[in-house]
Amino acid sequence: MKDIEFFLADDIIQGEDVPFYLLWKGDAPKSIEIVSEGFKDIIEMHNAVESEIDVGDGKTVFREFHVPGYLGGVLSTDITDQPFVHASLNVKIISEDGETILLTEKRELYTTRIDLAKLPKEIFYNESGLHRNISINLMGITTVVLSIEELEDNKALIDIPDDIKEAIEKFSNALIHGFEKLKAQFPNHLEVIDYLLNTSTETTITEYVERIEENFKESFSRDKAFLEAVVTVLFTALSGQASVRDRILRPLMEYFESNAAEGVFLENPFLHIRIPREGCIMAVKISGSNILGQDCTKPLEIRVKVRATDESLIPLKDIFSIRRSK
Amino acid sequence: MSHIKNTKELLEVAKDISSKIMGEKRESLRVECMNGLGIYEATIHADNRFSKWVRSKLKHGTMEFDASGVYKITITCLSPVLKVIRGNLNRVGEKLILDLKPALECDLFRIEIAHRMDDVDFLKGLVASRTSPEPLRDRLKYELSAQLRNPEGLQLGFSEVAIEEFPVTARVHIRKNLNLSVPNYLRKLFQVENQILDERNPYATTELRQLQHEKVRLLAKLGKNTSLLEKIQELSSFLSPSRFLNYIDVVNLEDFRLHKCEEDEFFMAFGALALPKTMAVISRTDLTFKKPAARGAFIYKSMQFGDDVAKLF
Repeated sequence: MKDIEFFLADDIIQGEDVPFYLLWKGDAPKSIEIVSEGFKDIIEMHNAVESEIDVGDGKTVFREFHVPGYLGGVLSTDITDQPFVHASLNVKIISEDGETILLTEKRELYTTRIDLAKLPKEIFYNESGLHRNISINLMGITTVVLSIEELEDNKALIDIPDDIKEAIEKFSNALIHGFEKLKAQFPNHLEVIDYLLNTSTETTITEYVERIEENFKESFSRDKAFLEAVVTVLFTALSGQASVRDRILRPLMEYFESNAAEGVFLENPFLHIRIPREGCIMAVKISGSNILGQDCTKPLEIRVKVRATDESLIPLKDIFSIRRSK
Repeated sequence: MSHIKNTKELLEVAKDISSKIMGEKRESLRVECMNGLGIYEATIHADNRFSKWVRSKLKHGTMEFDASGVYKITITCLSPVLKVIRGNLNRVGEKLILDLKPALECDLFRIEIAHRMDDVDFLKGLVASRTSPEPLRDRLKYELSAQLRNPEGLQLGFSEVAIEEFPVTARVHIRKNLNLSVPNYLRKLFQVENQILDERNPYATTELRQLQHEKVRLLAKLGKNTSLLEKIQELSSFLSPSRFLNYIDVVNLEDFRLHKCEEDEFFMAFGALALPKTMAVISRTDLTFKKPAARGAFIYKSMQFGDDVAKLF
């Protein structure tokens, strides 16, 4: 055996499946033993003769290969509450003449955890602004998308401002009008049209458009005529109904404002909270997902009293201060 | 149009053809990812045995193929003279009729039968590939790899198999760079414009005047005779995929070749403009039995990208 190349993928996000491989030239080895630490499991094996694999004692031994000079595989990983997990893949190759070659590749498995750093007893808002906010700490270096949802016992009104709601409604009415017409032209797609006509739960027009587009792309990439008709409806609705502000300004603000701190994106940057004068309890859940769309941390549940000198509507994101420590 | 959906199907088609062709031959399979074709290739010695088979066993010296999914059939004479044999293929209904008699004039010839493949599903089953979801260890480096999943499945009966131009797509997140490089006054300008449009009180003249002043002050920073929309459109056209290629350093690509960039995930701003959230950087590699796995990396020159964005304002 010579020219051995051992590869293990790098930049691993916890929850991801990662490939590894070994390439060599010359004679086939007697055996290749693989021991992994920190990884969850070997979930795929490439080019190993299955009847010649032994699994046990935390190691996997391969003795025969289909095409010469190659063994590959895929490892799975767990999502943990540790921002950095050490992992390694150890390979022991025993050549035909008894020589032993040891190879190791070490990796960090990364994630980001959200911790509640400081929760004040009360959040108070007056003309000069917010007094005290909820401080959230992110541990780790991976990009994270935060979403904020109301809990059942929430008493503060959390919603998107009326003008945005109005814009979505106007836009969706235009869509309904267009889609109703499509029903007659494409009776075989009735079910999906109806699904898309359901009331939206999105908080921005961008999200709404994205949902519709995604659904259509997935379901109808093969029915080009239908897809084209839908795109036309979509663009007519957009250009006919949305104002300059809805079409340009607000999406731009959303684009640039959803980034609260380095490597953090807010899923719904336009959410606002109505703070009543007499005060009430705000109860929300904050969840984080990684760049692959997987939940990457235990959600935070936050309950706090909010109060204002006069009833006020303020952006929900202002209530939080988000910091990252590595 | 029927497309080949997996390795098994490609092998079945190839074997069926292979079993029909008699004579001493060397066969291989090639998957051309760029064109979405699976190609069976056989190099055949037109010896006595072969010519006897063509003249006595084949009807009029012709072979029949099921035409569905066949993209192209080519016969090339390799010896004594190199030339492509033309005019010997006819289509009758759902059948393709290939006349092999012209091949008898050669000592050695090659037959290539290309089938259309359902490339997405087909390729996923053949190759396991990955790119860094985001660069973590080195802030700029995106790692690439690709490896054959199931070489034994392809090996059956074919000594040579090649997957050519297999695409591996890395998603480069440019939104963060954009957000950091766009000056603060621009964000302020969005807010002021929004507030002006949001003002519904017809008597709020003082507030409106203040906002207008603020708007004029901020617009002055943009430059003379430039509107906000123009500036954003300038940014949007700066973000063209071909220009983005300038920010990809290919020094560590190793087994890969940089193919192209595409806008990937879009941030839709409804016809007026579109800002990409991520750029898809597509690199390609070849995999064979001799080289069943490939690796490489590229560098995203994010500093230079950020600087160039900042220069627009």
